Amino acid sequence: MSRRRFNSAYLLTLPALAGSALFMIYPILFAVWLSFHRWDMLSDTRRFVGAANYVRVFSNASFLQVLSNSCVYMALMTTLSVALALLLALWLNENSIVKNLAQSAVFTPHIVSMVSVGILWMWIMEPDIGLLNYILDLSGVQALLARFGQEKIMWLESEKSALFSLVFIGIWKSLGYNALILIAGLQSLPKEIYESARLDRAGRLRTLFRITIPLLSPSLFFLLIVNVTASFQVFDSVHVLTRGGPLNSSNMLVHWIYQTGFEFYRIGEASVGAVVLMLIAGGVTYANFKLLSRRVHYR
Amino acid sequence: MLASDRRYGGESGVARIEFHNVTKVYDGKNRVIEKLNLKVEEGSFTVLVGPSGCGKTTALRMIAGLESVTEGRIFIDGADVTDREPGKRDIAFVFQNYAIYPHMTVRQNIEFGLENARVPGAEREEIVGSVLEMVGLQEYANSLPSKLSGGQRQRVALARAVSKKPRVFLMDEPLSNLDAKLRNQMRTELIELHQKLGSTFVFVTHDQIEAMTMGQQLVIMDGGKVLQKGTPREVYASPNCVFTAQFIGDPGMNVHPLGDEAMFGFRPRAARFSAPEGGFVRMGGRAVTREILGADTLYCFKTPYGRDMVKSELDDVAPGDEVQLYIPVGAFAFFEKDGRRVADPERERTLMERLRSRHE
Repeated sequence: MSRRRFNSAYLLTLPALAGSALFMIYPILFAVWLSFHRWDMLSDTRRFVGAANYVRVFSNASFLQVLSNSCVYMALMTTLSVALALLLALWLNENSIVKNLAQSAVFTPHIVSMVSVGILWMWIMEPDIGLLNYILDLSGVQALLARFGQEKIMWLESEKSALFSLVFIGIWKSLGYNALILIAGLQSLPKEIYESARLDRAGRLRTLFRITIPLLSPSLFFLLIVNVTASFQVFDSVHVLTRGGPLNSSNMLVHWIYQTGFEFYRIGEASVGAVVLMLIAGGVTYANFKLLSRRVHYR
Repeated sequence: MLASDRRYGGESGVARIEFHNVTKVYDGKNRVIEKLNLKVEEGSFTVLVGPSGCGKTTALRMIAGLESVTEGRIFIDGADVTDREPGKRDIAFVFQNYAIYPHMTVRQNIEFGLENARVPGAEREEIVGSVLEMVGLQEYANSLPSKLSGGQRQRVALARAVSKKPRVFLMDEPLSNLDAKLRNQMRTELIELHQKLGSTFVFVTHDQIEAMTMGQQLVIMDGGKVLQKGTPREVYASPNCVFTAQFIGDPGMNVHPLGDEAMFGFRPRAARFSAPEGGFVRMGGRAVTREILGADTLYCFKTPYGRDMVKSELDDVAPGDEVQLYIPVGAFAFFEKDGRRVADPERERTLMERLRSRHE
């Protein structure tokens, strides 16, 4: 590359570089810097404290629970949402009026705000007057559960179920988007490949595992990365539906950072959370690239 | 019979294919093929040729079972296969865009079908080795298709087809995506392959030169119907309708109206620049274009009938020159108004007289 072109390349990317420096690189560095300081809000003084914030955060049992909640949420969300989206995409991958309507129906949750549908889900999951328990009651499922000693499920209000209820709502919200990406991927596959598979006497399952999934791997890989990062960053559903409770059982990283920083004004510790979040999300994404990118077939 | 029951190497089966009153209608209204009756002889290299939309590809895909049949039956070797799964018809299909699996290596591409047919490992190994040797791609066995050129990809598709030892090879414009030089080379290779295997080949193309050079039997189709079937020589020398006359030949026959109820035509090769022995028709013409093809020269002349193509060994007529064109009496073909060739010799003679009288 000639020197001239090298220079103009930097010049042309300067606006984008300036933007990301201001809004990404500076905040990241600032958060890392803050995580080693104690910021007294009243006197507005920042004092270097070394690794004290890290020690304090990691010896805090509730933070460790938050960390484990986040990992459970991420693992369940990513696998279930992508797997269900694949099944849905395989089923909806046809142009008929019914299937187009169904496509729109599963996509709708993606475009509505979590804050407004959160209110709706609070009502649906309300144990006594909510729709969900009403349906369980009506369909006889509740009677069946009662036989195994399972009382009315408290959904968002029980330590046992709150996190899983959030997973359920998260899947409901992201399923449509994931399915849409996969449907688009499916429709870009050449139909001759499937005709070849028929001529090669491949059965349905063999076609799915040997043809469709490998050919869909770029879309699946994209969804994996996007869902991992998005589920580590979940905030709104926690904030609206449970506030991390009961007893911290559904609290997750970003919500914990918010509470620690803006409710308890412990900015240094909150910054530790932010650094941990960045390292985990970055680490998992890097591991995915390392482990899986060789198995992804771009055409 | 399973593919694994036969051995590779000249022992692939051969089969006869028959269409009985086959009709294909898309979306309940679009009639692509209308009461098609056609017999493809066993072991022949048959080419279905016609312009796009003539139904040739649909017909081929119906033999394969990739397209359902609206009405009528299709038989392979006397057995009704109309409702049989594509994989169970003992056929192989080669697509225009190769349709090899992009995420599998060359070897896996060929093995996939063999695995599904439960061919044992050792035999698979042997088949893959021999078909790759046949198409000259041994050293690419473990390459992904993205590393191969278009011609090599089509060879993989051919190798995959051969590995199944089918009784019928169906090919849908397999050479169209290749460049001109490679296409010529692959033509020869396909003819050799046919000679070696002796299986029935059905080949679809819109290119009449490809059809003429490769086919033993040509089936000329238009509007979902078979217009003529015969050897390349037959369809060239005695076309039975205006469509065939104009479609076959490079370029096709010059055809003009002769009065209100008939047409006459002559091949570009038939016209001369000097009077031949015996009877002829003479007309004046002004050269419009000249294409020097090498041994031959192709002219376009403006004549009293419009434009006529002339192919000659002489290349000294320049655009703009006025010349006399002489067409021997025996070179004319006559057609009825509806396009059918005039069959009655008496009527042919009358029409010839009428044409000659115009040029006295």
